[in-house]
Amino acid sequence: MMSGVSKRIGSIRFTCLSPDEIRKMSAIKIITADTYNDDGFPIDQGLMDTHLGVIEPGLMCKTCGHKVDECPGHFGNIDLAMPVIHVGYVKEIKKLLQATCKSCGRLVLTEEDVREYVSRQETMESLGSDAIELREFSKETAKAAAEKALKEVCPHCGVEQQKITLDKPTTFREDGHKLTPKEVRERLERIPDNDLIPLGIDPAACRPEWMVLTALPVPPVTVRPSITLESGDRSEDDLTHKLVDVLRINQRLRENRDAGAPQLIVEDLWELLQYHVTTYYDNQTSGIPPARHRSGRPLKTLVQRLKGKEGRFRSNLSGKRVNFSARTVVSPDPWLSINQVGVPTFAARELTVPVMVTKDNLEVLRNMVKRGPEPAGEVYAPGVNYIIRVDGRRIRVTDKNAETVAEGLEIGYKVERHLMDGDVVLFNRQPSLHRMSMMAHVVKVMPGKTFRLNLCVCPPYNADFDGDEMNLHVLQSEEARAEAHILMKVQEHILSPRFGGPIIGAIHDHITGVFQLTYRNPHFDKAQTLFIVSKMGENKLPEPIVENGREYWTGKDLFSTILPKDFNAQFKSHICQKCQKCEKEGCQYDAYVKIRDGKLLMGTIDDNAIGSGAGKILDKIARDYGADRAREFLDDVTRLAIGAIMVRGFSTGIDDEDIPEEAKRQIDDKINNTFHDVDQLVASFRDGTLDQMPGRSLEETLEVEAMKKLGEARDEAGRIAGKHLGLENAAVQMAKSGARGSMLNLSQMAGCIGQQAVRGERLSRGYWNRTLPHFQKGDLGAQAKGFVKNSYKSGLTPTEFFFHSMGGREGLVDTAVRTSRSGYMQRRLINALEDLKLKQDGTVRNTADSIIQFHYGEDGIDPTRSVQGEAIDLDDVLRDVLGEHYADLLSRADDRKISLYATVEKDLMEASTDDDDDQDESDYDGGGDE
Amino acid sequence: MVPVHELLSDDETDKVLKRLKITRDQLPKIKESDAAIKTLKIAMNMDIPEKSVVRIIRDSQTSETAEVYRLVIRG
Repeated sequence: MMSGVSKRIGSIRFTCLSPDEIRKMSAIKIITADTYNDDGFPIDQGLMDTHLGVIEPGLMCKTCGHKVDECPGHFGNIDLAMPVIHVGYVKEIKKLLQATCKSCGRLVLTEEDVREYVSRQETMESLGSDAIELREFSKETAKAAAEKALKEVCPHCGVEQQKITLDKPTTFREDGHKLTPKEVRERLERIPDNDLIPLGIDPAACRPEWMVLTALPVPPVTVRPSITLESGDRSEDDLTHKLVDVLRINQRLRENRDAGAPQLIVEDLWELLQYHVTTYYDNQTSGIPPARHRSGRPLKTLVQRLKGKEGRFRSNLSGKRVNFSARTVVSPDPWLSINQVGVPTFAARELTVPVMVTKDNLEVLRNMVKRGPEPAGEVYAPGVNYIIRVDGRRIRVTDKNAETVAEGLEIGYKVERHLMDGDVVLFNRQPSLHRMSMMAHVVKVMPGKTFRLNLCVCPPYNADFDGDEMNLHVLQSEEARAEAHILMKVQEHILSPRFGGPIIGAIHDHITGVFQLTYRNPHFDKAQTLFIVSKMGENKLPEPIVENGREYWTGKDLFSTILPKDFNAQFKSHICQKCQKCEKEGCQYDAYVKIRDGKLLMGTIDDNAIGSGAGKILDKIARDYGADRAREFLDDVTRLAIGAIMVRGFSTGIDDEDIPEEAKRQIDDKINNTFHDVDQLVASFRDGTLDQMPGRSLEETLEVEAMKKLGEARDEAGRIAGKHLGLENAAVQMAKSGARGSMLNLSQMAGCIGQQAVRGERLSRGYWNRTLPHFQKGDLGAQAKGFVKNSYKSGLTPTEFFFHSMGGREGLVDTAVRTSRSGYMQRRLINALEDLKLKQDGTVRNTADSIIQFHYGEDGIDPTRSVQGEAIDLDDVLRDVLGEHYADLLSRADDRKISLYATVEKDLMEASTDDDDDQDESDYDGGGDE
Repeated sequence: MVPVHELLSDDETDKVLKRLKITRDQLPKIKESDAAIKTLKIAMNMDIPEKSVVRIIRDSQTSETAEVYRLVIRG
């Protein structure tokens, strides 16, 4: 099946075609502008001549004798009556004309100068300059020659030079007098080969006069197929239309010239031919009107086919459409492992994996083929859509022929079987901004019509389930599967190279659940415990605690069952109050987590422990125990959390933001007082008693002061509201544990929304000197400038609502602008970095093997394999070697910013003599950050 | 602010190139007109010819210092 390499490309060189080459590669000379005759057959020597290849079934190519799809198409040519300039080369031609002598054609530089430039060119090449740098340099050479030509006479023949200008797009003038393309061509012909080298042209590959066309290649018909409409009418390709124009004018020009028509008419036709040839190449040349279709639509000619986002390169070569892929809506499934993806049966029956038939799997595959393309039965069983015989013939398996095809199955055949559980596929969500946007998943075929994924993989894909669609690609070769399995599986991407922490982790309810499981270590009776533990797969139930004849389990014990047996860690929870002095083990909020030998001794498990983006436990397990263990832990912890949250039940509603009347009054008072303060500020501003801040105008001072006061008022309102929202409140639980929302969100719902701002300033625009007609002109008070006194719960007044919309709109506009800008930046960055590679010796190099970075990241450390950027976790190692006590002392020394080893040593000695002291505990938190 | 630039002798250059197993043309470039090279010229009171290699030792966010090399080119 896999064909060997028949021809290997050694190198590619891009040059211009010589007229001889154009004629040599031409299958036929095109002379008539007609395409088809009345019977619908191509006219000989017309633009659709069958020498150029065939696009209609039944016809045979007169050049190669093949039929449609076999004949690759062949070039033809048009002999131009008069030469015309190729638009793509005008800049080059201008450079050459300006740099060379009008009479002898030599470069207007002395022999020494030329030698100097050539030797510079050679050293640049030897020092590894790239093509762009060399081109820049030859431009400089040409510029030097052009400047010299204007000041001095030609050093070779002594002729004075005139100034050559380019009249866009294709007319050259010498001192105002027009140069015909013919004259231009003659001049270019005169330039000797040796003088081209310093100008960056290889005379062996390209002569400059070839940039003025005397023959035009006609692309094969396969490049410009005509389409037959339902009405039977033919519609020609844009290129064909353009070639028709060229041929017509070419014909007229030749006739007129041969008949000895007046110079003026010939020149006009010549210019028209130039126009048509120019637009044939590029229909967006500035300075000339684009050629249009009858309907008024500008034609898509050669340059338009290649250029831009919809061009051949970006749309067809860099971005190809592929087979063996599927796309549908995604929905969540917490019972899938993070590595898995649920594929609907409907899609699984379309997507296939090729399997080579061997003696070992012959029977299995035969059974599969027997099932045909639509196996019946309750349980999903893979069928087969196609088989490929040894000779490469594909046979479609149908319900009818399934039996016979199955019998004929032999070793060496290939069977394209349906997707089944355990297949490795790639899963992707656009925009694919980082490598975690495309990961390998293991298939699980399921009923339904959506792709199912574990909730923990939402963050890397940035997916949610409000209608998001995702793509799936089925791998077709063993190599690809092996690579995907080892490098791309989800579990290999738990740690993000972006910040070296876990990007895949528990979210939302997982966090709330595990918080409820561990906060203040609640007790669970046997029924509850079994319910929770049953959500996980295999799990050993810890020994119950028996008290007064009743047995119960604690949340922390249950959590400990899923930790590795020798796991140690200590850090602060998300619920940490950030006290002035951390009490560590003595934390009264149960916010200091300490795990020893796989036992959660104290502390609450929440976002900081297992969350996506912050989870310390997850981070440490992934690093120390590997991806497999991390996946196992993550699967367990999320199921445990779901079990825990289901035991109690969890819900939040608007009444979670209820606060007592008394608190409402307090908030009201506070805000009213602040309004009064602001009014006073305004008054002092008006009568000039306001103290101006350094570096600010009086108005700015007022704004800053007012903003400060109003900000404080909002915070105070939030604080008052917060006092009445305790940890028994579901919304607060979510905010404090890091599951969803923040205390600011809550205080805006319960207390006061606060100042609305556009561009960081209080609202000021709208009407003349006021924001809305509801206020006095020039009112600088709080409510006139966008302060929203109400809370989301109490509801906004109409003016407040308007202000809030203004602030909200700015946010929307910002995100829209940001995404488009960062998208473009990303594209540029990736284009610049895509071919860089980290080599075995630790250097980063490009495809030319030039060094870009001498040592990867300057420290040679992979962020996903480092501990907060360090190669090893020294504190952990010390703890292992020295034991808990000394490690604590060491880290405490570190706390005091004592860096000298001697001092640390001294401290250690001192400390070990006066045994235990618990003053000034260290801030050590398991190599974590904060 | 400006990291240390120092000119390598021919021997040192060879050693560096040997260590990295590269030829001169694979090194990153620095222009003669670069302010750092100009200052180095004045400081050393000598010409720095094209093809010489300069070692730059700069502070690094990830490791304390980073050593890099640049090939001096005309321009």
